[in-house]
Amino acid sequence: MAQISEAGRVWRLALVSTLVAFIFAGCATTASYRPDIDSMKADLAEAKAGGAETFAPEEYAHAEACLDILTHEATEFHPFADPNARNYIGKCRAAFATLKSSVAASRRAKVPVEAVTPPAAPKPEAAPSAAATPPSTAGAGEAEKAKESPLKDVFFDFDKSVIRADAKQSLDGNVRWLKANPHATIVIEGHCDERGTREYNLALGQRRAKSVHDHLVAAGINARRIRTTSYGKERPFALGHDESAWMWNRRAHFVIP
Amino acid sequence: MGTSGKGVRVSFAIALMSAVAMLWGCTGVHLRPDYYDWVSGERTAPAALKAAKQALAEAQAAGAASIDAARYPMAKAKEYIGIAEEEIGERDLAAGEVSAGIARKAAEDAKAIAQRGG
Repeated sequence: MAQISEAGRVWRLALVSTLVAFIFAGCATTASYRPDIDSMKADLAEAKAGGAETFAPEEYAHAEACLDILTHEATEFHPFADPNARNYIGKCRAAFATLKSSVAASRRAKVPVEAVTPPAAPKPEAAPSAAATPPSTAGAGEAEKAKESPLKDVFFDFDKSVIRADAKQSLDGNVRWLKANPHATIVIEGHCDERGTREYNLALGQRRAKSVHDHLVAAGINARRIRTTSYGKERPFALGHDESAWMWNRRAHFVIP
Repeated sequence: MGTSGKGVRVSFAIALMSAVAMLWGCTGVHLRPDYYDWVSGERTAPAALKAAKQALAEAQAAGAASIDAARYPMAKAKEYIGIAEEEIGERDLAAGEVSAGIARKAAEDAKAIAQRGG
């Protein structure tokens, strides 16, 4: 009898041990994905810091979403390893390999562009007029015209048509010239950088031209001497696809017909 | 005999409890977020997915697909819509609804970018 009772205790011990083993197996399965998940998180942060959202947006979004769903699946309890997590880990490794190669390719492609870029142009805030030379211009004719014009361009912030404080100094010079030449008429052209739709930028360019028009009228210039028009993003002054070009293209340009 | 019968019954009870505990663990029910209403989820999760798809369509109509700055949010919206569809299909309504919410926000960001300019 004592022997049977002893066998029962052994059975009980064995069953409890099995249960504990299952629980540990589940935890160990989740933990086994941890190094991969941590490594992918680090890779994603590195890619983000390197600007992958801008130059490899599809690859970055795919890797980000894959890591998110992998983390979700891996943390679900399953004593024999979650089959979904096993599927996702292969997909995510492939997604991160693609992201890394895209980041590397874009870095290689960036080098020659930087090599031929002239020394940093002064920011519009520092030199807001046409006296400053932009990094590279869309057309020599327009660049010469800008140099010859006695009226200084006014530069704007992204998606804004409000005249900045530093631009008001340029406009004061323009007001003085217009008062000294009372018979001159001018056309104010509103321009934008390449971001946004064509229609939106045409409207934004018009708001910029109108903003400068109103400032000149408020300063005592006859409104009948001023016409406004907008070219939106159609006539960029500086070529390029980053802020160093865009800052020159968000402008109101003065033309003396 | 009496002791033997008692030992078998106790062992059987422990085995039964172990099996129930293991099954309960495997279902993942205990990991389901408490804040999520799994009954309403039958209705709210598909509605969230529909809203995300609608937001994506609106972003596309606003021209976000042709704007560089909107490429990332557009791609993110598409990725998370795919995840939401998959999760809702697998009856993980909480994860599906969360993913649909992420997709919707990304699509709205893309639309907002499309409605701005330089």
